[in-house]
Amino acid sequence: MLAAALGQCVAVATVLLLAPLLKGVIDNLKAKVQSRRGPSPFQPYFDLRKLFRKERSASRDASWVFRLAPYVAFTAPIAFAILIPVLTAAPLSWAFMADMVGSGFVIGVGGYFTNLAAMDSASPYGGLGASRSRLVSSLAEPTLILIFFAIGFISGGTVPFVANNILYTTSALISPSHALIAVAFFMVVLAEAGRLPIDNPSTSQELSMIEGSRLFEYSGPDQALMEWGGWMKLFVLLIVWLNVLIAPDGLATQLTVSAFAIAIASLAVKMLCAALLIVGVESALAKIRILRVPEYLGGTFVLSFLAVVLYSLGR
Amino acid sequence: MALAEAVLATLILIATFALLIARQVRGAINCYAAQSILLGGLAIAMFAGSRLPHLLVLGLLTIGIKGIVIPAVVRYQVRGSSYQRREIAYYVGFPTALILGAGLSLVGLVAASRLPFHPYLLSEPVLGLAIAVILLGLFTTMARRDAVLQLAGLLAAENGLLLVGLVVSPELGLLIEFALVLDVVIGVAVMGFLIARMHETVASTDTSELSRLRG
Repeated sequence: MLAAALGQCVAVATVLLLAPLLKGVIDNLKAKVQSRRGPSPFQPYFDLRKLFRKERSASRDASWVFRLAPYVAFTAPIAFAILIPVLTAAPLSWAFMADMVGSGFVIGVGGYFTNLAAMDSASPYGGLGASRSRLVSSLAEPTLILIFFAIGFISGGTVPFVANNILYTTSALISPSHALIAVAFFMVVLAEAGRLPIDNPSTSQELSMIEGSRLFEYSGPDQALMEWGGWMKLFVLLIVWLNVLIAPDGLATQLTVSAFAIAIASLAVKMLCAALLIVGVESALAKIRILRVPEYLGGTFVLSFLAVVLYSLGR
Repeated sequence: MALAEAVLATLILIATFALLIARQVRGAINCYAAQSILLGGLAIAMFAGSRLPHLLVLGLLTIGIKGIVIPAVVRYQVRGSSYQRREIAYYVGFPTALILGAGLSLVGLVAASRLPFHPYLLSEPVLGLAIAVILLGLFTTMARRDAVLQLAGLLAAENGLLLVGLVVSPELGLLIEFALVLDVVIGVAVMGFLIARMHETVASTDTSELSRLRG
């Protein structure tokens, strides 16, 4: 019991501490692709330290929502990390609190409060970003629901740990419908986490921003929490993609120190591969126009739809 | 069926979808090249599993000719960067094309599940994907007004046919496969020549321009 609780804490700490590194590695590799030296991979940690030391300021008209939102946006990915197989293949004590739909809700709460806060401060850019991010999320929703359906179909359960175990032990991992789900989910992760081709995370043009413009009004520790939450969101979504959907290898099956060390190392390797993939996508593709976002997400919907059809035909 | 083959077959379908909703001539040619390289990779993966030597030859031929030579030839014939990046004209809009494409894939998948089928090297879902690729390629030919896109659609459908061949009878003779690949080269040479002439004369490859008489 104690070991399981400790294991859970290690998983959450891994997400907390490695998420900024993922952001730093992606930024660094992206700069390398563009023949620049780029910032150090540890730059996000320095940024966080700087922001936590700064003063916090808020608009006089901002309500309690504005002050609460950073904490929600920061804790939502942490709560999500409890529900998914970050390091262990066997479910830990709190893993059955919610299934995939529930964990989708948990991660959605963070985005919801970020949007409310963006509109609360009455900055025009905040409202613009909030409405756009709602557009993206509402269009990603049908795809996610279909992906959950398909995973539920294949594994007979929607708790992420169960899905991971069953996908790992059966031949379902090598069917075309599973490959379709993996591609569709990756495309949705890019859209939800505000990466190219939906949103350019390194842009400085307010009018084209989605994620960035929602954080304009924040400063100091609040901004640090918001940004850290965003990095963790990308990190946990990628964990679902890696550990549940495509590469469940290396997860700890026993609660021992050595098994956890191997799990953390394998997670780091898998994350590096995912970072390389994201860098490749972001270097090859330009941001698509906002009016074409429905086509991109419609494409993911078609892929997940075909996955469900393929699976139900094959039975 | 091994992991690589399932993934490659799925990626071929995704590349065909990308071709269907490509907005630029350059993008469409790249989609076709990617689809051909994936198909060649699939044949090579099948060679690794079955040790049938002609599958290796077929895979290398597909990658070399369809993945590299044909796209290069078509790119050369419609060279001019502003042309390659211009948005193409279409009969069917992109969201509609996507939905119709999903419907056509559904038709392909259901049709394959109804066919009498004896799995040999690849499993039944791949047959469904292959038929879907044929239908999507032909639909691209119908839905786009640009001659280059029509050519790419036709070639994509031909790749789908080759995929059906790989599923149904992977032991097809090498000679027949040679003939197939060379046929495509000649077809592309003829169509590419016509497209190049059209590009030169009308300064566009929009086929709807052809219905107007010019003195």
